[in-house]
Amino acid sequence: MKDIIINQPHLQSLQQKCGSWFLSVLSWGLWLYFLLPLFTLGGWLLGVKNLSDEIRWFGGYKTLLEMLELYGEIIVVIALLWIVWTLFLSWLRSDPELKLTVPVTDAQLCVAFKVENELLQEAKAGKLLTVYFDDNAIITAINCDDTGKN
Amino acid sequence: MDKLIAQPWFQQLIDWWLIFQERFEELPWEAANELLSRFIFYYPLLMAYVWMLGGIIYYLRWERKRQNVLADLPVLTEYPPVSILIPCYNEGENVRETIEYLLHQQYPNYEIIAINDGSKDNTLEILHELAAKHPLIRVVNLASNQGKAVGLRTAALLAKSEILIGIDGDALLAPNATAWIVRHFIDNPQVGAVTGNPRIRNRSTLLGKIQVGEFSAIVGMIKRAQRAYGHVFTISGVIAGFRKTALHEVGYWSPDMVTEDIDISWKLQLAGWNIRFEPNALCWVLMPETLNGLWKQRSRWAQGGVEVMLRYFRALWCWRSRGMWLLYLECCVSLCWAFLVLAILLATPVQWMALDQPQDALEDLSPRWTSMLLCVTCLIQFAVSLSIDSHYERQSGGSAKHYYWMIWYPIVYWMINVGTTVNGCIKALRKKRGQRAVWVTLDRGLRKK
Repeated sequence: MKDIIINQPHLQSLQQKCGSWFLSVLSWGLWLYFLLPLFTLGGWLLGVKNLSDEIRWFGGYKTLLEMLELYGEIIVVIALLWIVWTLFLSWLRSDPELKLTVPVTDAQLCVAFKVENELLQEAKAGKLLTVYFDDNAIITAINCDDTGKN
Repeated sequence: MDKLIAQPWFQQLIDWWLIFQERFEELPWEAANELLSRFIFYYPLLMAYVWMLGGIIYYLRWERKRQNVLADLPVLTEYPPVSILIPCYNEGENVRETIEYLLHQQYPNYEIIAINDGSKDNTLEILHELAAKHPLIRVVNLASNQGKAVGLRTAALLAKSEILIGIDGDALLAPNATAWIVRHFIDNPQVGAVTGNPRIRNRSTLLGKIQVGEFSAIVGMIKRAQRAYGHVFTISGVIAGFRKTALHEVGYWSPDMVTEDIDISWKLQLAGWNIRFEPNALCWVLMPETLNGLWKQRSRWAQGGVEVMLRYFRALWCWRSRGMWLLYLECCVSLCWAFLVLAILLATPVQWMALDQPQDALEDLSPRWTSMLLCVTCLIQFAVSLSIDSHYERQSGGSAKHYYWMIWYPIVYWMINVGTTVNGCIKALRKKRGQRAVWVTLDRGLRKK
């Protein structure tokens, strides 16, 4: 399985390497920056009172609780909708009247693709085929290269 | 000039302009701006939880109880013949590997149809060589380049089987994938298509590593959620199974659509056929590892999505199509979101420059509870999706390491996706109806042959 995976970073150009490095630093920096309230909150909850000013700057602990409450309510609503929908689908398909499909026939294929049945049979039996089209992607000829027939 | 101003009609015009200006200023611009800002921020947040919960439901219903998903084969009541279709255009460097790997399918009754779509390289010679060695292989040479859709249509016509599986010319289909796909067609005659589980092969660059996580966290999660919902936006073009009868009913793939996979997905579902997702049907694929290649690929995907929305808008207006309404609505909202994000990105610098004290605007970029919660949501989404998808990465070192790389996903991909969505939308609107869809894939990642 590992042979399928292609991991050859040494093939990167210098530009790609520099770009990756720059993007890595930038991304980590931004993540840490925007997650700063989370770390600050953790410190504050653990008793670091000096972080109170930062908490107020971020919007205040009360605001955070209100937001979390709203988020929680939204998530619960989404979950309930999913559950109801899932149960509904299960009920809907609990006794499905599975219609048996009739496979498409060669005659139908000939009509759809505008080819003769004899030609289609020869083509289906062929191993090497060449197909010709007009400007509208309609088949004009099928050449069985292993038999030389059109 | 004085005479002009003295004219009664000019005075009336000035009055109208003043009234308009007054009314314009009275409009609730602040409220509208606030509303738009909230939409831009909360929409991806909301959808993240929608996809997460949907993905979890899928996992609990259909995925959790499976055992060794990488090696197990499903027990089938029958083994109907299968035709595996491989459309190729300039695949000289890849097609040999693709077909030789395909010959190891753990399925007793299948044929391989390789379609040379008017390649300009040595693809046809390689296909003929392989066909001479292996009886299972048939070669269909299109005399001129016609596009993937026409290649698939032609192969469907010439295939001997009712069940068709399409893969790309540079993809590697897992040996047990065929059996897992066929299972759905046997179990339910209303299944018209089965979409597989594409896995990224090339992981040499940062972009490659990010895409591994993207396909797991975003593509895989959304696919699972949509399957749990009952309708999917698209099958995977790189790996999907089809019932020929279903294809025949909807007219096969459309030659003028740049994403034939999205098109056929919508046609099938609008016609009443079901589409299933089979995560065990693994298919290893090559993806672009340059920004240019990625941009082109995603622009085509976006263009194709918009083309489908435009074409099948009328077909949605019937009760039978109600299952697709939410998907269509979600697509529309996502498009609006992308355009709004772009508008804000363009307007913000201008707005800052117009301020008396531009440094005050930087306060908008300060960390807040809202930005923190958005980041935490991203991390949770990635963790959930990688956890669900980890089964399929066991033999490649696991998926935990991709969590590290995915931290770059939001910054890189959201911006790329906004741009490609807008670009693709414009292309779709400008495209002439009926214009043949042909494209060339040049970037397949870094690889030493």
